[in-house]
Formats: sequence, structure tokens, C-alpha cells
Amino acid sequence: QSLTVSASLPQVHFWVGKFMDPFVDAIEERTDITATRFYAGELTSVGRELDALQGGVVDVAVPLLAPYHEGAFPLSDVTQLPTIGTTSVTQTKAFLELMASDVELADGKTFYEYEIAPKNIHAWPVATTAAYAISFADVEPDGADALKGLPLRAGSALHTIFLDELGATPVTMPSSQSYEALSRGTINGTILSVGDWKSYSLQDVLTYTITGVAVGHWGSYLAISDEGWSKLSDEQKATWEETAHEIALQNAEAIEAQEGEVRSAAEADGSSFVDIADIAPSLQDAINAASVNTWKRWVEQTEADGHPGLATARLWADLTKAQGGELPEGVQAFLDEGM
Amino acid sequence: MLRQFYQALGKLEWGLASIGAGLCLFAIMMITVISVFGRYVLLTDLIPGSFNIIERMLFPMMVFWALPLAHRDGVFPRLEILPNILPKRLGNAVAILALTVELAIFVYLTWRLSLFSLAGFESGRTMQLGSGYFPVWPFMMMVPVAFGLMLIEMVWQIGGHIRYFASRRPAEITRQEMF
Amino acid sequence: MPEAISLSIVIGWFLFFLLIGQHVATVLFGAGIVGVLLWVGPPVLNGIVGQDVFFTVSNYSLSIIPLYLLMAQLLMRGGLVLDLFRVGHRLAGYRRFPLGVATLIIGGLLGAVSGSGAASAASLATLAGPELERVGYSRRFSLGLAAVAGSLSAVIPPSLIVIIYGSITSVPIGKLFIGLLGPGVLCMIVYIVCLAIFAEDGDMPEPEKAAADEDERGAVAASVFLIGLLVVVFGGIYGGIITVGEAGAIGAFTAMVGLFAMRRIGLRELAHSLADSAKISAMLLLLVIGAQIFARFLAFSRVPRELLALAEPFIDQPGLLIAALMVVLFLAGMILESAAVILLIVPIVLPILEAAGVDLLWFGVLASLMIALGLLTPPVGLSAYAAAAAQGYSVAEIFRPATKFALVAAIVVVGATILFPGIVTFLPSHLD
Ligand code: NA
Ligand code: NA
Repeated sequence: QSLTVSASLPQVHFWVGKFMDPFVDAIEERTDITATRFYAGELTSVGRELDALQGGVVDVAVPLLAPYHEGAFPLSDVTQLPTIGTTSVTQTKAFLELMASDVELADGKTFYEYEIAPKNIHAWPVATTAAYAISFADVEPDGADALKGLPLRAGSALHTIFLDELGATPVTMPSSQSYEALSRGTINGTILSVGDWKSYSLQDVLTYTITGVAVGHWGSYLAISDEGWSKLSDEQKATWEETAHEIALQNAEAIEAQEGEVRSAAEADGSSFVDIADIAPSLQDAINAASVNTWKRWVEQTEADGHPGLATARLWADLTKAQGGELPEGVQAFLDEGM
Repeated sequence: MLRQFYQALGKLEWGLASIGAGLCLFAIMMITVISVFGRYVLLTDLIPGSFNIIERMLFPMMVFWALPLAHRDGVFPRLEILPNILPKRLGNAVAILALTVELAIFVYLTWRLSLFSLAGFESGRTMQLGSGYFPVWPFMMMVPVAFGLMLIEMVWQIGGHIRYFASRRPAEITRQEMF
Repeated sequence: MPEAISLSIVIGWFLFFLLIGQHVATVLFGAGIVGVLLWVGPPVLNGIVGQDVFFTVSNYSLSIIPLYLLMAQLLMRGGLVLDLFRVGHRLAGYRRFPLGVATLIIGGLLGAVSGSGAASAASLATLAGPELERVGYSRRFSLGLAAVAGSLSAVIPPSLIVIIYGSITSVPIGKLFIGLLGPGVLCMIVYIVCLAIFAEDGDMPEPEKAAADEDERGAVAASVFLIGLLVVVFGGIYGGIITVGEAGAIGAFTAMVGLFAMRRIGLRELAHSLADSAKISAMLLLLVIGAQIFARFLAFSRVPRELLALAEPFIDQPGLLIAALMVVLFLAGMILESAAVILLIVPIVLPILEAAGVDLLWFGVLASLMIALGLLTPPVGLSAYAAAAAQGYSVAEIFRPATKFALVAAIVVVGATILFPGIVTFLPSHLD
């Protein structure tokens, strides 16, 4: 079998260089599948991978950037909810569990049956990103008031909720445009994983980062069209599933390693990283309150759109804790109580 | 009768371009000015989601509403060396060939675009707007409409060229506005 | 079908329909569609078209284009070009060489608020053409000079070519604008030297000094307003206060409010400016969409990768590579519309440039400069055409002086930029 495999991001991105390439290498080695690879949006652009799969333009999209498919993967946003003490490794494991979970969320459907199957694709998680941190350019907020009205970049609807709850001004733009906006003060900071800075040269402009709290982890998929999947033999399918699982975990380790490297390099250049426990108490409180309210608003909004937000949030909370992660103070009470 | 229809169509296209697209552009300008004012003077975001409003709604609408008039007014660039030096009747025949192929290409595009916007409508395709989502398919629907209006113009032009070709009179000079 | 044959068909299609005068955007659509069809078949093609047309336009960077067009449109309809010329005329004292220099400087100032070289050339041909003739230049040279001065709009930032380059390469457009400033000014200086060397005498007698113009005070005020506008736009970008898109919006807004206050435009002029800016943007965006479809074919065909392999020996000699690319760009700029040149060539050479470690900011400025010079050269030189059309004069005649200017600028300015990259990179590197 010959498959067209496409990435909308360049090879330097960890979901391409450290997932797509090793995955396809392994598949080509372990089966007689051959693949033609395309990179950096040659065939599919960011946020349009699903169109390309459904339209038959490509057989496989890695990554299928779920957060950029505006509103198309309503439940997948759950990985972006704020957590404490989580890493790419813990959340990748949780995400693998979520995709395999047999818990019924609505209409007798599991997460996979609700979110993936109706789209005529088969999908597996790539590793989630490392923790999304709150970073600033030439600003060191000394209290909750310092954030009032501060324009900060939000990369997704969920970030917008979080920044809004924080009292900051969320400015939505893709990371590719945030370098210019940060360097001229259109925005004063961004929410992004530190390992991701490198892709956009942000280590040159970001000077102060609050760590220890994750404004979630972005998840995305390795996806193959139903048509492409049906061309594979049962043996090939089994190898595929096994390999996807294995490479996702490797990918998570690589992402954590890159996170460390970028952080060390940035620290050497004078950028500072401060744990949430060491910042002003009013700021700590504001971040925690915003985290809890983000869970609430996401659940309410998702339910209002007709999707099982509460059940999904409960499942994600359990899976996160099972991997050793923590929830912001007050989230569990909200989930137990329901709406 | 046909000419009246064509002129009415011209008015519709002018209306779309000047009122519809013009207002979109005016809105893009004002939204940006108000955002900057809010950011620096009031320290607040006066229009949440303005980036997405411009990118997914106002700018595409401006472009697609202005497209038919831009086409009719002949602002699309093309290489005019050969058409200018060919003998009149041959030039006429060549123009018919170029336009017919163009028509075929745009018929195909319009057909695919109609299916794409229809799929967007059926799946209720959304865009991000601030912290929530908003339907984007109504804006996608503008695309086949714009391309459809251009098709009519192309048929009209081919008809004109064929009439001139048959009557052996020199072809009408294509309008070429500079910008 | 063998790939070589498919490729030949696509190239043949492209050249044939381009030559017989089909719209450039349609040629791109046609060649791209035929190419994808031959390479991978109808299902893939069907999947590409719908999403590419809408989402290519749904792009914030490109939404900057109509704002800069609007600013220029408003200033023209408000008669500011005429005012600028009145003031320049007065300062030049109705003498030959000074009036020529004034025309070039006005072209440069106009360029600093306008992004397209054709509109400026048309208004300068109308205003400056007859005056230059009266002070003793030949008609051909007068209109040629108007075309040259008008083409500065594409060389001095803001420039539409640069916005499109930035949107497809992700090089910050603000940096590109600032980077273009040095070469743009250098280009203007080179043109002034060319003016002294290439001047052609006309047969009109030296005129008497014209009667003092009643509107002159208004003209000075309007010119001061224009300079103020420049400070707002470039000060905002260079000072790191606003992005390029915001500067465009604020510039257009300031022009609108100022011109309303000076009672130079009414709602009617505003409506026409809005509609015309939208129309020209639509034309440019259709080119961008066509180029996107064509780029899909290029991706499937893997032509850029094979070119990269072919260019391997040159990767270690970026100088040679750049020189070769500049010749290609100059030739392409001669026959194609400037936006189309950027859209066609940059995606193909981008992998090569990245492999050779070429600074994409510097290259973008250089490429835009080279393509802008194509506005003055036959067979397709929109500035020359606009100047000719405005005065009902033969474009072939205008090309003769205009091409001389373009050639000298190509050698001197591009050469200097290659030898001293600091001309481009110095200002942007101090931008943060
Ligand atoms: Na300009
Ligand atoms: Na030319």
C-alpha cells in the first residue's frame, strides 16, 4: 500500500520531526506500506487537515491539529483545561486512556465514538504538548492588578476564557504572528509551552514566565481517512495501532526534553522562570480562580452547545489524577456537584 | 431584453462592491482603530475577537463581493502583447478561445465551491470568535455566488466576441482600468 | 502518464494561455487544475479547490492590503497629489533640473503613503507631465520620468509586493517595510543622478513664470498634513507601538478624518475610495488564490524539491545563487504582474534559500525591489502603461527612457544591497 502522509507544520516542529517522521519510518520498516511525505503545509494547511482527509487530498494527516479546527472537535479541547504538576508524559498517557475509554459520555457513545468516528477518520493521539505557561515580554506582574487589561495572546477559545477570567485582555492570533506583536507591544505576553518557543523565535522576546500551573496541554491526532484505513490488512492495522501508541510515548519524552533545553537556553539568555508558589499571593489567587472558572465556563459552554461537557470533564479529571496530576483547588468540588 | 438584464446585473455588482465590500472595508478600518484606541487609552479590549472577525468574516466578504465588479471592470491583469498585434479577426478568435477555457475553469470552480459551502452548511461549520464559536458557513456561501456572477459576465463577453466575429466588425476594445 | 509529459503539458498550458492574453489568475487556476488532474487525479483535485479558495482569502496578513490602498485612494481623491506638486513646483522655481528632482521626490513621498506604482504614475503623468514639458524636457522624457517617479510607490514602503511576500514567508511585514526604506531612498537618489545624465531636450520654449496660485496656502497645509500622516504611520511602526496592519487602518482613518475636516472629500469620494480599494484587493486576492492552487500542483509534482537537488552545488555559494535568482526575477518582472511574480517564484525557491541560509528579510527586500523595477520595463510595465494611458501617448516611446532608469537602478541599487546587506538589515535590527 502506498499512502500520502501530510504535515501542515514544518519538520522542526516536534509533532512532525519527532512524531510524524519516526512513526512513518517505523511503519515503513515494520510493514510493506510505503508513504510519500509532505511537510509544512505543502498539501494541507493548519486547521484544514480534516478537509484534506475527508476530501481525499491526503490519506494521513500528522498532526491533525484539533485545536485549530475551530469548533470541529468540541470535546478534544478538554486537554486544554488548567491542571497542576502535569507534564507531556502524564497527559499523553491520560489522552491515550481517554481515546481508549469505554465510559459512555452521551447517547451511549464513548469519547472516541463521539469525537472521531462520525468524521469518517480513524485517529490516535500524538503526544500532548508540555504545560502551557503564562509568559510575558518586558513585564513582571507584581499582583493581580498588574494583569488588568494587559493584552495577552490566546491561541484557542479556551485560552480566551482563561485570560478573560484572569482580567487580562485576550488577543487571538496564531503563534506565527505573535513574535511581531510581542516585539511591538501589541501584546505583552502569550500562553504557550516553553518548548514551542523555538518554532517562533519567542525566546528572543519573552522575559518572564510563571511555571508550575498548566493552562492545559494541547492535544492533536494522527489521523487516517476511513478510505485509507480500509486499504490496510488486519496485520498492518495491528502494527499501525501498536506503533502509534509506542511513538506517542517516545514523542512525549522528546517534548519534555525539548522543554528543558529551550528553558535552559532562555535562562542563560536572562529570561526568568518563577514557580507559582513564589509569586505574589494576590496573583496566585487570581490564577487559581481563573483556572477553576475556566473549567466551569468550558463545561457550561460545551453543554450549551449540546455536547457532553460535564461528563467529559469528569472523565478527564479522573484520568489526570490517575497519572499523578492535580486539579486546581475547587475544580473537584464543582465536578462532584455537577451543574 | 438581454442587455437590460446585463445592465441590471451590473448595478447589482456595483451595489455589492461599493456598498457591501466598501462597508466591510470601512468596518475593518474602524474595528482596528477602535481596538488600538481601547488598548492604549482605555486599557481594555473593546471588540473581543476582532482579529477573527476581520480574518474570517469581513475580509473574505469584502474580497468576494468586490470580485464580480473587478472582473467586469477589467482590472484583472493579463499579458496584452499578442492580442494587440494580431490581425483583428484572428485576435477575435483567440479571445473566444481564451474566454471559453476561462469559462470552463470557472464553471468547475463554481461547482466545487458550491459543494464545499453546502458541506459547510450541513455540518454547521464554525469559526472561533472570542471564547466561543460562530457559524462561518454563511461567509463561505458568498464564494460560489461571486464566482457565479463572474460566469455570467464571461458568457456575455464570449457572446460579444462571437457577434463581432460573425459581423466581421472590429472587436470591442476590452476595458482596462489602471490602479 | 509519464511525469515528464505531464510536466510539459502544464508548462505548455501556462505559456500558451498567458501569451494569448488570458487573465493571469485564470492561467494559474488552469495550469494548477490541469497539473493536479494529470498528477494525482480528480478526487484529490476536488478536495483541494473548495478549501483553498475560501481559506486562502481568510488571512489576516492579507487584510492589510485594502487599508493601504484606501489611504492612497483617499489622498488622491482629496487632491493631495496636486497640492504636493504645487508646492514642489514653487520650491523648484520653475527651472528644469530642479523640477525634475521635485517630481522624483514627490513620487517618493507619494510612495510613502501608496503601495502601488501604477496609480501614482497615472496622477504624476497628468500633473507633472505637461509642466516638465514646459520647462524644456521632451514629451517622451517627461512622461517617462512621471512613470519612474510613480514606480517609487512600489519601492518606498508601504509596498503591496512586500505585504504579499511577508504573508507567504512569515517574515514580519513591519521589518520588511523598514528594511525597504534604505534601498528605496537609495533608488530615489540613483534616479536623480539618472535624471541629470539621461535628460532629453524638448522643443517647447522656456516658459514665463506662472501667475501665483491662489490655492497655494491650502497646498502647503495639505502637504504638511501628508508629512504628518507619514510620521503617524512610520513612527507607529518603527516606534513599536502598532503593527503594520494597525498602521494601515490608522493611516486610512487619519486621512479620512483630515480630508473631511479640510473639506477635500465628501461621502461620495469616500464611497468611491472604499469601492476601488476593495476592487483592487479582490483582483490581487484572486491572483493569490490562483497561485495557491498552482502551488498545490507544484507540491505534488515535487518540482521544488528536484530544483533544490539541482541547486545543491550552489548552496555553498549564496552569492551566485542570489545573482541567478535576481536575473530570473528581473526577467519574470518584465512579463508578469508584480504580485504574480512573487506568488509564483517565492514558493519554489524558498526551500533553496533556506538550505543556503539566506536571510529571508534581506532577500524579500531585494526581490521586491527587483520586481518593482519591472513596472518600468517592456513588455508589461504597469507604471509606464499608466503614464501613457493618462496622457494618451505611445507606451513604447515611454519605455525608452524608463527602461534606462530601471537598468541603472537594477545594477547600482541591487548591487549595493548585495555588497552591503546592512542597507537592508541595519534599521530592522534596531527595531525591537
Ligand atoms: Na509605497
Ligand atoms: Na515589466
